[in-house]
Amino acid sequence: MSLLEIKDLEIIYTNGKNVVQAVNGINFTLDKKETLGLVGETGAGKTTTALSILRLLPERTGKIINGSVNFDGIPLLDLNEREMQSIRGARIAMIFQDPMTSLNPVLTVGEQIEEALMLHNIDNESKEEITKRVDEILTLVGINPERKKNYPHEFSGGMKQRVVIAMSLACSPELLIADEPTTALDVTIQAQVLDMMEELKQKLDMSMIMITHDLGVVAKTCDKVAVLYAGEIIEYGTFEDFFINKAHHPYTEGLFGSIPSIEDDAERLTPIEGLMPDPTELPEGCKFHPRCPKCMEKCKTEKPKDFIKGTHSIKCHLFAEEEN
Amino acid sequence: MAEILIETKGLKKYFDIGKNKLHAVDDVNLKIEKGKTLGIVGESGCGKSTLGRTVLGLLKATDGQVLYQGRDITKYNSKQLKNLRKEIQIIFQDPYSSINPRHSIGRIIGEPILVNGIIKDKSIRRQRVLELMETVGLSQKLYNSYPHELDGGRRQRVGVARALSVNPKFIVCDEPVSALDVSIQAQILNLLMDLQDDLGLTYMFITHDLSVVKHISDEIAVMYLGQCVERSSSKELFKNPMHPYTKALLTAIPIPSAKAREIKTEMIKGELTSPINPKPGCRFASRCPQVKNECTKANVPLREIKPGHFVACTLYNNE
Amino acid sequence: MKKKKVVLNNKQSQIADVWFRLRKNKTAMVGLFIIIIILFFALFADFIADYDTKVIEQNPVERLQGPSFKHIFGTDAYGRDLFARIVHGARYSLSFGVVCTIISLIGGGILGATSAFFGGKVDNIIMRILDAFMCIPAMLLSLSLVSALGPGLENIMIAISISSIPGFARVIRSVVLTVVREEYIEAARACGVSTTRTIILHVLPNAIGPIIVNATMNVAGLIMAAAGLSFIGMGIQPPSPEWGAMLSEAQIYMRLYPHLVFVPGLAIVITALSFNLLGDGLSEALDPRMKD
Repeated sequence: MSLLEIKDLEIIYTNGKNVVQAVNGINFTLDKKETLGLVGETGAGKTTTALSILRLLPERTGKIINGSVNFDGIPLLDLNEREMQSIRGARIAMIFQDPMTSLNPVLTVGEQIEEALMLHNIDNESKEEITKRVDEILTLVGINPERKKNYPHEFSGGMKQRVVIAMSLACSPELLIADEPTTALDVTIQAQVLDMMEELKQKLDMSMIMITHDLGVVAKTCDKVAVLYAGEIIEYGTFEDFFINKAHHPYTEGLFGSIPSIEDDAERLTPIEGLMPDPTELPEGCKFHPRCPKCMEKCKTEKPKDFIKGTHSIKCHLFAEEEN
Repeated sequence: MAEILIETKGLKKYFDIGKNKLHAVDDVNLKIEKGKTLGIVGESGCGKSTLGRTVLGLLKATDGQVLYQGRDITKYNSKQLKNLRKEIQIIFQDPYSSINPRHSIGRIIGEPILVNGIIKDKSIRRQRVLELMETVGLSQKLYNSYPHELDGGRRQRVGVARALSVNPKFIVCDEPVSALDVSIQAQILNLLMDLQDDLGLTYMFITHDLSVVKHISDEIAVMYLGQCVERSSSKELFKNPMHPYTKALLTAIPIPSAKAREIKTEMIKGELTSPINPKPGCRFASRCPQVKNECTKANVPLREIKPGHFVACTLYNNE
Repeated sequence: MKKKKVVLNNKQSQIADVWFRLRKNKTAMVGLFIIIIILFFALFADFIADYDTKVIEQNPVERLQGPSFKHIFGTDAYGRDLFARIVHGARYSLSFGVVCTIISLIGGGILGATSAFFGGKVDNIIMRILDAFMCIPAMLLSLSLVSALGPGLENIMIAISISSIPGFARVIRSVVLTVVREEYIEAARACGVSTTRTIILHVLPNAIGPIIVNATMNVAGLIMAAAGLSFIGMGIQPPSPEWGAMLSEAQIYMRLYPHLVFVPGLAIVITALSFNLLGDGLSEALDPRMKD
């Protein structure tokens, strides 16, 4: 059985004036020890999806209007707040993009990890055991345990992100959601942190959802990839489907074309023209059609279905013809 | 040889941190030919933004010279500096904070024209702003719109139009695409390259992302803790990186292809050391996988190892 | 996701947006409503009750009456209609509150903005002088200023304004400091915009939100301060119908005729409260974080 299963998830934001359709019917599953990459640009619905798994959407404005989230057989959307709290942090953990704001500046790093451990102290460990665990966890993320007496401002950006990861791993969660964990870091530090995360995943038998806009990060870490555009998964498949297979959704192709490559000598980039659609007025038919270089008449009116070939599914009319 | 538009000689910028000195830019020598692009690459805290602002005259240099068309602008008084604004412009990193949220797009783009007294007549100025908007690919409908109605890519186009409004010869681009989405990044990079071809602009392109500068730069300078550690033509740098730091930077970029997993990146350990009162010797020594004794003894100067390829590293002392 | 959302919600003019959020805040709207009523009374006071015959002229026959149809708030010790006096008194209180706030806003604005924008020595000198002023309690400062200048409407206004300048300067300095760090200020410099133009067109309009909130709250404080001065006899002198002065006059009759204290006291409290409520509402409406 899969660890996480999301079905027909739909989420809107309202503020009295506008309705923003942030997520429009998302389906995916995640098996144990697997890493799923959620790829997309600003406003695609990546973070909203992640927050809804933990039920952390902004209360006043965000609403889940349809769908289900099953985690290890538990329907997360039906739980009450108390039951949810026992899952958050303990079984599903999340790390956020900005390590600078995820840490409390007035507590030492050791105290913060200790707190995370105390919150979900199921085995009733003694104070000494917990202190020992703090040391273990810090060693795990490559920080000298002696530094646990330091305050967050005494750490650099990369080290802070390590501390944040250490905190999220404190209770050995089964699922780790990482929301752009390396975007705020420098490339050399990013490489270090990604490497460490990969190692930890192997060691701790975790599943992971890696939210990112960077296809390079995906190529390095993920087993499965879902590309989001305007709240929909427009392409979904395994690592091989994405990086070895040549058939792609035009948007995914555009993403590949937009990345300056170190390897080939192309003079110019081939970007996707136009902009993300306004989520209060999404276009009819295929949501990508106003920007699509291969747009057909059909795309403007008719919503494309998922065309599935083995593990690879693409939401585009182009592939419908191939199938027939 | 082509005309050199801007040149720095032994440029230094130190900041006072209490009693200590933070060496943000330490003895940097660069040359940019007219109509060419110099890419400045480095990680956060390496002093690349400070370098850009010192070259613009927005920050006062501690020592050294910035020669613009042969004249030293570090000695300029405020009136001369104001005139210089018509020649040298800047495009900022964050399109969300670099334009005034209370002003309309037309006003933002038109302001440099107005304050520099380039076009006094209101309707001609308006015409010029509309032209500029078209040049950078902004719909003219947006003339009366406000920044919050625009997304990041369009805002950055506003920033580009504002920089172009005074017909500058030289533009410092301070990470102009790093706050944008990938598909928008490519649009802006292409725009900047087109503008260079059409208007004969000279760029200093500052970025932390080596892959971004590959296309746009003719020459690249890699900075580490306030110093330039390697400088060469763009092609040469990617084909034959020599400084261990440049090599590390290149391998650290995650490549979006299946090969990404096979390549085991040669990782450098640790993080940037502090640029406050640095010790003599190579500043990269503490992280360098190939560090030798002599690296920490004396400063390692930038030397021309191959024609046009400068490296500051003791590994190449015998060549 | 979040970024996109904010951009969208920001659509239309920002004033309309603020008004939309303010309207949803009931207490703020109550405050605004009461302020409009008081403003209405103050503006049309002469049409509601004649100043000479109703407010100043003594009428011993009708002295110390309780509320009735003829005098809805009753009459005072000299037989003057309390309602008429309260209505005319609104002029004093509002002008104290609003005019003094504007004066101190301008004074504090200039000092605070200069201090923040130039920083360094200028900042140090201005702020240390203001610190010295802040050491003296505002009431004591205005008291000593009034006793130096002598009573009278203008002098009281000057005294009260000066005593609230340091507070304003501090607030404006901190707001401007955050705005000055924004990149568009540097962009303005890079374009060759002059310093004065930068302060007036780029810095102040972006700092205006918190300043408005502070000013609104300050109005309430200044109304109280003016009433306080009049109460201890250093402000507006009887028989002028200032609320504080009326309270002071009513003290000796308090046991037997409590309405004489209640009515002006309540007028002061309600006016001050209304401005505070509005200020609270504005601070919420102007805060972009409230959009989530």
